[in-house]
Amino acid sequence: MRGRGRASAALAVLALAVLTASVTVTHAARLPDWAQPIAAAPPSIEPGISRHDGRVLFRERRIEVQPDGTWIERVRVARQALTTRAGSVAIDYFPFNDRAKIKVSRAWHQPPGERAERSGRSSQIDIVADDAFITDSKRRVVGMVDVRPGSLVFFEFEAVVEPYTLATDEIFADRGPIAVARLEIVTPPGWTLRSEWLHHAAVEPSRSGTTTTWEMRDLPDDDDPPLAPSPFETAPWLVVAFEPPAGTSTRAAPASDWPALADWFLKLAAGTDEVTPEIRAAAERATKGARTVPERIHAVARYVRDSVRYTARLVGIGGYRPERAAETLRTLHGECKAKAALTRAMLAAVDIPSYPVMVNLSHRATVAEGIALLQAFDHQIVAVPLAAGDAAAFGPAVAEGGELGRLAIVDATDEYTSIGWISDDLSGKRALIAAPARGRLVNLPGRRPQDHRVERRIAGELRSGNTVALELTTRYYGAPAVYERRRERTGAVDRRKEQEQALHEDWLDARPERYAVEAETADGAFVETLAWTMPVVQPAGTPPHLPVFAGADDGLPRPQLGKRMVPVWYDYPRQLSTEVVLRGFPKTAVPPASKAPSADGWSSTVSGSREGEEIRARWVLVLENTDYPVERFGDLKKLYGAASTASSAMISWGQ
Amino acid sequence: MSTATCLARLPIGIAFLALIPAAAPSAAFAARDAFKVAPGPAAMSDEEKAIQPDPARGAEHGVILVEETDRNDNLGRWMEISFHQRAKILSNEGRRLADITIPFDIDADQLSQWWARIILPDGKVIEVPKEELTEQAVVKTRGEEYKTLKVALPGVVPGAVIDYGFTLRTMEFLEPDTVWLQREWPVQLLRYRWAPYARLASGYLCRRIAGLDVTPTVKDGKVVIEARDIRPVPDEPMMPPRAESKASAVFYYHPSELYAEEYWDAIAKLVELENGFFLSKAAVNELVERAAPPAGEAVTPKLQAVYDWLGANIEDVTTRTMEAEELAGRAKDRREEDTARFVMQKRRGETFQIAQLFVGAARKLGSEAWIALAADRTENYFNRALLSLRQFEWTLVAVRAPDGPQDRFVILAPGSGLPYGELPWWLTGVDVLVAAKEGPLPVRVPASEAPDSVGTTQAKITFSPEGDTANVSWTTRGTGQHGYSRWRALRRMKPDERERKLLEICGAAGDLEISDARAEGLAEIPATERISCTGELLAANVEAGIARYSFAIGGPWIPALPDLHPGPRRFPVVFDFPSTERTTIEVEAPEGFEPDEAPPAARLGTVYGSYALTVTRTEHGFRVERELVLPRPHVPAENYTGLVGFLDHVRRGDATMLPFQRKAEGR
Repeated sequence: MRGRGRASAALAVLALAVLTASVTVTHAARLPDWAQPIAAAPPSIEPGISRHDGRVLFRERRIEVQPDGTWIERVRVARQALTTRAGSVAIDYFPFNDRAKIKVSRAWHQPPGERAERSGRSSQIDIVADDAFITDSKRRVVGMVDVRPGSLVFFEFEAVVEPYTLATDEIFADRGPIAVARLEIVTPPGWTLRSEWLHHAAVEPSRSGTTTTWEMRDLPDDDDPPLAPSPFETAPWLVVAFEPPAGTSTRAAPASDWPALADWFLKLAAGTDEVTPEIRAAAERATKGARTVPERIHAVARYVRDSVRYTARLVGIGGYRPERAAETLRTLHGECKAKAALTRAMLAAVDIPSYPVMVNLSHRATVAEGIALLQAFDHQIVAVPLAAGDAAAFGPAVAEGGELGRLAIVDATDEYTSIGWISDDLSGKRALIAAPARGRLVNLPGRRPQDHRVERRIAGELRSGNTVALELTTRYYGAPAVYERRRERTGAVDRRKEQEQALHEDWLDARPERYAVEAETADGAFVETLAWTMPVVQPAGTPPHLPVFAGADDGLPRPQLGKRMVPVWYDYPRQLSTEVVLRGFPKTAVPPASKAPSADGWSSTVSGSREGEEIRARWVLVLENTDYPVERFGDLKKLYGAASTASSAMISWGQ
Repeated sequence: MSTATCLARLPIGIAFLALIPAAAPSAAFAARDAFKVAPGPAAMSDEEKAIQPDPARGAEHGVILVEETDRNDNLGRWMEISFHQRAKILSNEGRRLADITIPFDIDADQLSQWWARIILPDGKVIEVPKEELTEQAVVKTRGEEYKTLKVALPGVVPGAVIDYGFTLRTMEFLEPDTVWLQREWPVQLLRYRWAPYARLASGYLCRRIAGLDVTPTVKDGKVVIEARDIRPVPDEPMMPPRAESKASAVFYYHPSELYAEEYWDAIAKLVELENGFFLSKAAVNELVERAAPPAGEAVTPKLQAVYDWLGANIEDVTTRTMEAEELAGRAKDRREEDTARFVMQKRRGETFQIAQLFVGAARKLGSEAWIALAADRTENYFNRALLSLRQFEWTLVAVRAPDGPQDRFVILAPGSGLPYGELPWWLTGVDVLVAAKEGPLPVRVPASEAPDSVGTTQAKITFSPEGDTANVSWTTRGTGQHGYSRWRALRRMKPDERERKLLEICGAAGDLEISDARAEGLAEIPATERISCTGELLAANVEAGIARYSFAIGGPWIPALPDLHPGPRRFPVVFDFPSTERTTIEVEAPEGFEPDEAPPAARLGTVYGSYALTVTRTEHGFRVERELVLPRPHVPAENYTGLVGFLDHVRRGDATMLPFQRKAEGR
């Protein structure tokens, strides 16, 4: 079940605070049978201070599938505290909602050298599990107090679960390294299992009768530095589908394949995109003046994006079934599914067909190709089939849909991404197009460097009095545009102040003279113009000079690599370019020398020339490859060195 | 820093130390006066229609037109809260004002009144009935469930006015709180009325309202704060803490009906009483004996000996190293006692226990000594008018030795890891409260002086034979406050956290690969910090064929300047502590190059500080010597331009380039 990974730090703090504040009653007790062998021979704690506050000695999740497709789920965890900061060892949780009924939630604590004690009812709380405005997603949290180095804490949960589909997943990761992790599935006679691994080579299960068990040992817990993949993206992830014998009726839908899941969703959502008179009227108002299909698509998407505020209400089946489009139009608030349904309804009102699309906004590589797992997705958008010739109006946001043709990808939930562009959260993700009877997985676009680019143009002039007048125009596209647009709309005054301060840091003595922003141009750019004057840069002991590419490499974060043992992942490929045109400089002013270092996955090209009275310089940095394992850090170092070298290029001239 | 405050002790009846439920609500429950929380008009006024976005005045996303709160704690078993907010939405981002959460643990049936309406720009009105409220469970424990009520108001667009409110009753006692008058949005009218419970002493305090249209009134045991046209105040770097810079009204109960002087007098007596319970003759005698103070009449050296002994032998558990904490956590004996004897026996204690021990020993040695309560000035300053101990974070000691100055106290921080007479910087520059015999006394603790807090850095830079990279190493040592808070923080970290933090301190990034980052002296008392960094600059850019090469002296070996830039300033600039930075950088010439003529020295002395940069040509390269002194603990807002001008001068100096020229053939 999703959520077996790490609890958020805030959740852990809240839960521990509530548990500690309440009167926590424990009782002396005998450990359960499954815990006794662990307690009898716990591993010793190594001297020194562990990087981890605790480790998982044993974790087992057991699913006993019932003939009607519900199941009884039991989780057992044994944790060992390794440091005095073992708050995260002292608590564990079981995620649930209205589809699960918890039967058992208990904990035991075996302090080193002391008798075991068991949790009382006061040691458990239910807390809301996510930050949706209204949600029924909860966590049953159980905890023990006075946990210290060497303490063993055992947890057991059991619940009756009614899933939506006959599939589950298990991420083999936790808070700390894991000695033994196990997924055990018991099926009724005649049922079969299919499984698939993500991020890991397949591990063969052991089988005994109707029980199938996967076990993994000695799983590490990686560090979490900047630009690192999350455990959801690297930990072994097992996806399992349960298949009843043919003709069996179950309360949960089968997860046979992706087209079947798409149809399940379409059936669930049937009617929610109904075109009512109000929707038709709204669509006609929104598309007034639009002459072509792409223009109408843009108009509808912009209307939904800008008029409907994001407010998530995820209760019961509402976590999967969209709100009716008509209701979303009335309330002008909703979450991604509601906005997608309204988008589709309004498009239908102007005779443009579309499909709902399910995708994972938060993590990469969540889709098992052969098993339709509903929990692989956490977001919904829209795909619109395009006629030949219309794709150009959507730039990067066009996916190849196989037999569905070329599809415009529209995300009306994202308030800061221009229609026709793809955010970094969606770029390259595997998504399910819910086309009736033809549902299929596609790769979303947006993995080309030009899909996320920053174009800077600097025009400068040397004036009398040894003053330089410069004007910088920056055009952001794709993910960089989203970032800047969000900053601008959150606080335009603060953003301008930050930009002028950044100017001051890069170009000391700069005097801003003009500033302008266009948050969204017709081609989806965020454009910013800043003009300033400054005295010629001439620190003591050096000739006058002008750094031509100052700040141009800001769009390339560069983490420390030396001691790093986890890969570097950039969220998206990117292209950063700066073009400089200078006038009025002496003939002795030398443009930067051309350089073009490159390696597999990146390039950095600097060129400079003098053309009559103008000095021209250009730098283009292209990062095509986004994932660098440790063994490729040498390439990254070269990239960082090239970026530093280029950004320090200067034009200097004699007196 | 002065403040205008409104403050009062509310004239309440007899004081009790605990709540005593009264009989059923009296006529007061039914009576209403002119302050009545009720829905606003169902139409937009002309003035409201005219309100447009004005980011420069803080009205970018929304304006609070009216906010009213009427809180009545004086209903016997009940507490009643009425709330009303009317706001104009100005942008898409402002629509979040329409996602309403009633922030109390209540059920819908505890609402005796609810209304919500949206007035659209075209005049149409959408009403939201109580049935649209949704209960959201937050926490459920032991059969009790904590819930809030939520509703997302429908149909909200920029230009709309929302108007909502409620009245609820609850039997739960809710601690009165701080009401921020200056917030994220402009506020046209804010009214807050509080009727405290008659059987508890209570008070209120307005802070930072100078120049604002804020009027407090007290009548019939109720306080009303009315504020008009309050504009938001953006945060600025290095500004005073929020509590000291933004207007607020603080409401509180306190345990007895006392005026300020009596309250603090009672606190001083309580502190002394607690001292008495904590100390024992045996423990104090043992401490004095072990400290082995020097013979003679002078008392101050004896105090110093006790102070030093405590620092070296009694571990302050709040600043112990992570290693020590782990050892203690594995100890079998986990018993704790709040007595001096226990602290001496176990050789560990809390900060306040160590302070109490020192008080006992100081008195035995013939000095006056009292506990002093201190606030953390990064959170708030001590305000005598606020009758609450929650404003204090630290326990210090005030001494007046017979051989020391008699007109003032010397304030000490035993157990802090600092030398005798030095205090953590966040406790300086403001008042502490000394629980003295003659009565509680606010005593100003001066900030330290710049020569007392010196950071000294020695750096060396050499180039690889190919010239493509440069090797860098530097060590920074600190005295006084320099590095002190970092020393405390690093001690408390686990080794892997410490390593990450040290890489950050050393400026590790893609351009500068740090291969080694160490902190020494973390376990030493007094606090001693030495940070050493070794790394490689990836792009030295010494290219083949060039005749001249310039190297910029800047890098993480030069401490970062305050992040202050030109522009308007509202608040004073508050430095952590006055400081002196001295940096020496030895830069060797790249292979095949020799140093050219050294750049001229840079020197500047102003009221804001002094800066000196000297570059000396050496046999192998250059030596750069830099000194920056920032002597002032704070700079008023009206002097901000001058301060930034001074810092810009420093930035120019720090941008100095060292010139090298290629050696002539054969050299």
